[in-house]
Amino acid sequence: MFRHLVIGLLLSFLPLTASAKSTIEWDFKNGQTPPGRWEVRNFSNVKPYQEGVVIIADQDGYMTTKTEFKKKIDAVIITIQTAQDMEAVLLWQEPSISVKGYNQLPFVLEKSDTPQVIDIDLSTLPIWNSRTPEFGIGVPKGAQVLIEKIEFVSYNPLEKIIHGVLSLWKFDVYSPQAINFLWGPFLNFNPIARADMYLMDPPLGASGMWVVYIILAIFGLRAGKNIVKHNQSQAKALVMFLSVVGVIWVVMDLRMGSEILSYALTDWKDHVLQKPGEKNLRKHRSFHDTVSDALPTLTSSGSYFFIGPGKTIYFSAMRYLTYPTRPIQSGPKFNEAKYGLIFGTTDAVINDSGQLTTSKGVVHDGPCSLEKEYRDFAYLLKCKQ
Amino acid sequence: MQTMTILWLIPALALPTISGWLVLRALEWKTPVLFKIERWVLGFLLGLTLTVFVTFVVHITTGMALTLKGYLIVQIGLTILLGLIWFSTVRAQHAVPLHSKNQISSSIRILIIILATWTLIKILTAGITFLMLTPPYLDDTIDNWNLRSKVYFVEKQIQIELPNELGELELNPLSSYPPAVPLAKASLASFAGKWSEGLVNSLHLLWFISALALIFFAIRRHSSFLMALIGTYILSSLPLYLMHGTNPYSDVFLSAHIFASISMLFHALNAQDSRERNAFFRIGALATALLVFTKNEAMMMYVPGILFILLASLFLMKKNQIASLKQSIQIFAMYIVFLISIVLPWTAFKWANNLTFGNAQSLLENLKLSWHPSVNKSMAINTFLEGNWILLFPLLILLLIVKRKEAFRFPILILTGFFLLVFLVQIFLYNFTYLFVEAMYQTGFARGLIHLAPVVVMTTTLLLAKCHKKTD
Repeated sequence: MFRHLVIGLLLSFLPLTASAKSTIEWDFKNGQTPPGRWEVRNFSNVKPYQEGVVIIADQDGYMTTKTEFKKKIDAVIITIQTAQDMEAVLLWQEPSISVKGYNQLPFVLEKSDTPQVIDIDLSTLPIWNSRTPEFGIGVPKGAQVLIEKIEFVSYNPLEKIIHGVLSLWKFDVYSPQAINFLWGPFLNFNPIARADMYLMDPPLGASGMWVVYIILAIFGLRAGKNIVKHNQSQAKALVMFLSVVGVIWVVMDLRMGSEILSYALTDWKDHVLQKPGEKNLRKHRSFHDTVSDALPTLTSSGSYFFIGPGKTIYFSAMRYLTYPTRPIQSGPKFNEAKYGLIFGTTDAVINDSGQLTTSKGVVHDGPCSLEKEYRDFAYLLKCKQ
Repeated sequence: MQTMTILWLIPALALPTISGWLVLRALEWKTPVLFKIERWVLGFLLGLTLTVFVTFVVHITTGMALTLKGYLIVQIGLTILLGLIWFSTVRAQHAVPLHSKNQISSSIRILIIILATWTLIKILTAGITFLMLTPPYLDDTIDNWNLRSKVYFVEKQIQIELPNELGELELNPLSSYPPAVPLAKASLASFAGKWSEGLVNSLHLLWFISALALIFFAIRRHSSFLMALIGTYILSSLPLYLMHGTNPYSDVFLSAHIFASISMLFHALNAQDSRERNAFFRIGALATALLVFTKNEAMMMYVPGILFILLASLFLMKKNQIASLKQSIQIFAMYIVFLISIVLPWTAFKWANNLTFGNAQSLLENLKLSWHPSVNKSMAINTFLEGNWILLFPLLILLLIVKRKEAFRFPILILTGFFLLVFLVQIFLYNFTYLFVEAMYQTGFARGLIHLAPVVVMTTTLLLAKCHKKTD
């Protein structure tokens, strides 16, 4: 039985290996503008160069071309360079809609001196359709970009199965929501989706539990068949089915337990084994490292001011960590504090008069001075009362 | 240094655990019904909660400072009092009967060793790292449990006003949570003489291990050693339960108390004679009463659920002539007396300090009904499509169907009835009240399942044992 299964699986996979991963490449280098005729809208300055096509956008605009993909496109890889940080979009026309209009997928570009490779998964995007008649890219007003290459990647079924299995074993990181739920296992079918899957909420792909339920359904049907056709007792069939549940349970325990262990190992690597000044903790990054260094100064008086990134947990953490010394985030007492800590925000500067100002205006008359600078936009300040 | 501080756990927990052991022995009276280790584990769990409750009562009534001296006065006093009661009882010892042993094959034995090693590695690595070696990270730890503990420790009193963003003190709605966990942590810090994250958080690991031990003994009482191990493994392998057990949240603490209460009721209904039955009822009454002092959900939802199941059980006992009407009334009255002794001081304190009766916001004041159907998708995802519970709930549903005769008949009906009752109430609340956000974001809903996880695991394991028996 088992031998037949293995042979069957091998035979079914054999033709798949013949069709390897394929890539359609649009190369803009050497003055090319592939493929076909590109339509440029709202850009007055689009020129092909040796290095690729250069777009200088005097207003929001986009360029598209007619497409006819023969295979299902799973991902796009763009080699691009930009002079400033910005959000660009991939855009494509929905094949079933006759009215002109585009679906858009935004992606972030960081300024760089050399072209960077941006991987974008499309396979997990419900609105993506490989039969799109038109595909292109849009950039905002003020953008200066050089597009070197756009590649469209398709993976064959065998590769998808392998990447699917690998995605089930890919772990999330320890985020605050992990106390309420753990996303994994999650399922997607290519390495580009897998690389970024847990950067999104919810992750890219579908719940991996569907795989478990499909396996259980197969064994459930088999148990039913054994009862009906082979007169196996219901109790025996149930125990056999429960044995399958037991095996899957242990595999899932290994999967989920390993994820939780990976959280702990990351903590050891980033926090426990690091020297003071180099410690990071999960999404709070250097916050705790900064606070433990600033703690003696902050607690040297009854209260201190604290500026963090918006309404976040950092104020609560400061209140807890420095108790009984109290942090002040707003109100009249803010101006009376001698010391203060800024963490994770650029929304605070000391002006020429020594006043501490934020987007709300002057928050401390000062004069304030910088006592110490830390990582992640963190500063320990001393102000005259 | 951190390691040395954690050693304060031993003296700080010694007297509360001994008090717990003594009160259990006193409640068992002349009929010991607990296994030796089970008594120590339950003694630690209930003893610590009882001790901090008595500390709370003495503190609010006499103004006794929450210093090491204050904690010791209560702990020594309680131990002496319970010790005297214990000495006055006939210290009868008889072996608690075990369910028939079954042979374990060598391959199963190897599998047990492998899974036990893996489970220990998981629990200890996660527990030591998240609880003792990394700073506090999660909202409720920083805003509620550990903050209030630190405030009690520093101020040497229960202070319901906490610092706000203006740097001033104000009445904080989180003070409406019972102070059991914060007081227990503050007492540890008082023994050590300083605030230590590792020390105060290590309690959570002990509560988690207690829950695992209690489910082992509870199943062992009714099934084989192997089934008890399977049940314990199932509970320990639940990823979200492990996360809660190894992080400073109080839901595993509550779940262990709920399990102690409902499992004693279950044991009582299974008991062979009236003396054993009454011993289980007495312990169950204490566990049910102490539930009130764990988290607000207990008083609002779990205690009423347990009382309902108790009433149904007593009705059945009366109907089957296992107990007379008088005996049934006495048992119910005992539960009520135990409950009143905990509820009264705690609610009086809440009333006097203008604290709400819900979790941070008053359930009664906000009780406007409107339907939020989208929460059902969130709840289904949390229960079936995320890795939180592995296959616990699909397996439970399957077993409730195929073993429906056993599942919906006494005594297992105590477990299934309790779970379905409180779970359906929760589903109703999330569908029709402002609490829907708790299900939408999978916060309160997931916690509700954490509270019920040991009960669900015991139900599942006992039904699994029934499947196994059929093929023997």
